[in-house]
Amino acid sequence: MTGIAMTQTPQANGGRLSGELYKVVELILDRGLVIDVFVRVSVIGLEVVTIDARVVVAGVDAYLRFAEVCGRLDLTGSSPRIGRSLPDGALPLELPGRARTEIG
Amino acid sequence: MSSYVYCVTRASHPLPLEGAVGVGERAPALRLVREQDLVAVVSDAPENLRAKRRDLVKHDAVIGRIYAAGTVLPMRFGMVAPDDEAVQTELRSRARRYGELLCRMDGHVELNVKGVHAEEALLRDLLLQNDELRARNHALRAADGGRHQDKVAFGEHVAAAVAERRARDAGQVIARLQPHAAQIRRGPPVDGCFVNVSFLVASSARADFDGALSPLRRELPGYASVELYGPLPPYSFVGNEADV
Repeated sequence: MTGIAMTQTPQANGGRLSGELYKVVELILDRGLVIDVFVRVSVIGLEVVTIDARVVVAGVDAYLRFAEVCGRLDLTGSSPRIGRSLPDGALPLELPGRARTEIG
Repeated sequence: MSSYVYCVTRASHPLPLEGAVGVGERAPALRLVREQDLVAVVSDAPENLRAKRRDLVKHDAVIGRIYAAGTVLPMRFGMVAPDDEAVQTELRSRARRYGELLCRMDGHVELNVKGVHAEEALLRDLLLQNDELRARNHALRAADGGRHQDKVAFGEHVAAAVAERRARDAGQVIARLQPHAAQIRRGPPVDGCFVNVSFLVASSARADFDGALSPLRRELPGYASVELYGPLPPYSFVGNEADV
């Protein structure tokens, strides 16, 4: 994530960049005009997308994952704003078994 | 042959469709179904259509052409009528509603905003800000990960703190952008985003809307990033649910 806005207008041939399409694919699949008396083709078993609308922060699996991620975070640095310019997962991690004592 | 429907617009629309083709392997030609002041863009419906990337792109590309040249009511992907007559009947029976919707969409675009949290940076911030969570994290580490139930209990507290930040930051995004929008519609947390929200924005308000993004990005915490997608055809504001 760079924080740069994507504001391209539709291309002359009518298509948007496929990368952007991918980011808004749920709008094309779940929004738009619906005519009740018409059939809608099945979009089950999508080849391209799964719209993951689960609540991402609840459930035992999520709790264990949070605990696991917290357990390997390096809290010794001093810049909590470091995330702005780094993608997910790019923060310095502790290697397993290393420096387990320097917390807090 | 059943008819795949792409969009509805006014009969007066320039409808620049030369060279465009429809969804499906056979790339069917597009045709127009006219009724009174309205026109629907349709093609033969392919058999066994699924939501493949290629077909989503084509569906959106057909709508994109129409949208680039004037107001359009985009259909949801995959709407199939028994035949062109059924499309005509639909246009006739809901001519007034479609006319009103077209008026409401005139001069407006959809802008979709998604915000994501860099998870590790967020968790790090939560631990650094919250003495109790930090102490419990430390204790679990000291116990070599700790017991299952302790990990679950700790993780649940972390999750609650994460949910609070998600709600707080989503509220911030909406509060800063909503004043520049005619309508707003929230969407599901696709790919874990903390906010997924579409705004219907008048052309005259675009500059203000875009201008609100930079200060918003500065206000949000460092682990939050916000992306703008669009302008898009008004997918989120033409469905039945958006009528209210």
